[in-house]
Amino acid sequence: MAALMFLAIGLGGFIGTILRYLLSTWITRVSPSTSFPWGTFAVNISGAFGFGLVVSLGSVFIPSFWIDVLLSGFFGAYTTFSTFALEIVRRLENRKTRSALHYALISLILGFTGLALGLWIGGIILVAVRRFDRLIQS
Amino acid sequence: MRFLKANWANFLWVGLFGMLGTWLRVIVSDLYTTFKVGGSMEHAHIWATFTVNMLGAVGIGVLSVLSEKRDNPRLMLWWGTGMMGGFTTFSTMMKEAHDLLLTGGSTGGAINLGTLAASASSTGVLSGVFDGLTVETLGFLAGAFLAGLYLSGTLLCGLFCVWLGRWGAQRWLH
Repeated sequence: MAALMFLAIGLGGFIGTILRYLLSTWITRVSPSTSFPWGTFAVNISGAFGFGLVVSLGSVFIPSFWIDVLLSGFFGAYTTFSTFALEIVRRLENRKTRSALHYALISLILGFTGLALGLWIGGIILVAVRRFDRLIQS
Repeated sequence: MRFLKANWANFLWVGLFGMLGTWLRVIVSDLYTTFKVGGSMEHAHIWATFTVNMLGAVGIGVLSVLSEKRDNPRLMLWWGTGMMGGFTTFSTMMKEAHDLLLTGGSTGGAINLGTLAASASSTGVLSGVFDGLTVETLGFLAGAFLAGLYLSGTLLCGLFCVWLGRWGAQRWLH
């Protein structure tokens, strides 16, 4: 891998990590319930959605260099699996099995839905832009 | 804003550790694709993400115990939230699950699995189990099965890895 690419992906990870920390701390602070980890949840779902959006829009609108920086760097670091897993284990250790199960399943299902939604909306935007282009040219 | 001003150095450090984690993830991913772990580029990516997520889960388990016992929240913040958070990934895992659902992990992979299931159904190994289903339907079912297997497998193994990290750290510090 080229050194410049490696550096740029690291920078994407730097920004993604800070944004995750900021957002999840803020959301945890303003969220009404303490039993559900809204901070990590919001970050992971929004990250999956953004990932899907970049994948579908990227092929046309974004140079491949920046696609890699956004996907491997930014969104890879913005979302997290380790904190997600730790939050579930903590709930299991405190005998809050139902809460742990809810969090795990909702995260996985909505994470997948978020990604699919991102891909889908990106596709719609692509089609709309192409139609607009044709309209202008004709 | 007051929160931001009071903690700006902390943000910087969390970000720097996140950058290190990101680089480590990219290195693992590069190694796996270079040696084509799992037989194809697509599978190498999936195994790299799985490896990274499991290592990060063990790491954050160890760190959670360390920062509690040493009463050092910064340890968790920098190495846990920063480094392990940047190292592991949720969004890439979802994209890979989506790829597995659509293609079975490689171009035509799910359809191949569907063909396999159809022939197993007609030749007697799994006689009649999949009768009446088209190869496309079977391919889709195979993809859905693989995607579900990947997500649930990562979740269960990840939970075990966190538990293992916490258990090991508690024994080590005892």
